[in-house]
Amino acid sequence: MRDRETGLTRGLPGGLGASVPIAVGYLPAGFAFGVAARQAGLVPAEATLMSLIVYSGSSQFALLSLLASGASWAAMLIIPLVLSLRHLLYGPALAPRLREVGTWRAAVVAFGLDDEVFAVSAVKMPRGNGFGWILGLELGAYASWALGTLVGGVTGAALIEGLPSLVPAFSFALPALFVALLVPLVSSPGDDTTERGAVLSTRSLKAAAVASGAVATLFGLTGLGNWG
Amino acid sequence: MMTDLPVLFLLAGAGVYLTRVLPLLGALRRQAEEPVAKPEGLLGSALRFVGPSVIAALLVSSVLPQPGQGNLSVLLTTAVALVPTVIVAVRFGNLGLTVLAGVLAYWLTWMLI
Repeated sequence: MRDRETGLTRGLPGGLGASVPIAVGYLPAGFAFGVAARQAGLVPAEATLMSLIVYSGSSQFALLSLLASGASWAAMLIIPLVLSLRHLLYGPALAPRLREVGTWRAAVVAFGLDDEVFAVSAVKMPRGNGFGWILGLELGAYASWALGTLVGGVTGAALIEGLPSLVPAFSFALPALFVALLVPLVSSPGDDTTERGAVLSTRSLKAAAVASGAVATLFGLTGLGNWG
Repeated sequence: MMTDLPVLFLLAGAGVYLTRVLPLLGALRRQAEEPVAKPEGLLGSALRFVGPSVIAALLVSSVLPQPGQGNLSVLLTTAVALVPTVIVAVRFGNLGLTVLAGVLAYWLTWMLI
């Protein structure tokens, strides 16, 4: 218990610090959702409640669209679930770094395991303080998403009209974050040296990134981008 | 306020949560059942690709507009802003600094175009 408490207190500040780039991107994204929710007829409290409970941008926007169109409950429950299927890979990919985390703590961590949290964790999560660190990361991201939603729901499009360049600029924070995470993975010198069951060639990682980027480009150009 | 909205949110949120929690708990349980850490198998090796693949896909999907929704000035602004963003990322390797540089570059480009 003492080791876990030490790990939590040691890791939490680092995780909160690491969440700042995500928060810079989530504030305008949450704001955009809040504005869209208001335009769809939701009051700010409802929009914020959705962000606090569902906590998934793509699923929330889809749910909003389905609500506005009067879709069936079956559609409103199935489609967000389908949009979240990519999350199935995140837990197993991070599990080796969360070995010391018990079941209940893992269940807490899982709630906040969205795309950006996973992306940062996959690259930056330290060994040893895993739970505290990722908890701090998720708290920062979660709070900014909820706050952005609330501000968007309350102010509506007025802020966008008043500061037309600011919201798009802050919306570029997430692409910038992904660049910052990807560059070290693809710019390190190639290393084909392997050991039995151990070293993974960075060239393979680069190839995986390029292949995924190509598929995402294809999906985006054909309008299937929401399928992630 | 629709009285059943909170119920809808809870059910939808539960679905999203299950896609995150079940695989994680399953993977942790498999790890715990191994008395000693085994050398990485095929699945473990494959899972290492998930991070870079997801990041690359997220980057592309975040900069590409949906068909019919983008315009040339947005695409141009994004393309121009990516240049200093990448330069700062390569030069300094700092998350916060790269994001700040990207946001600033986008804002300046937006103002100029």
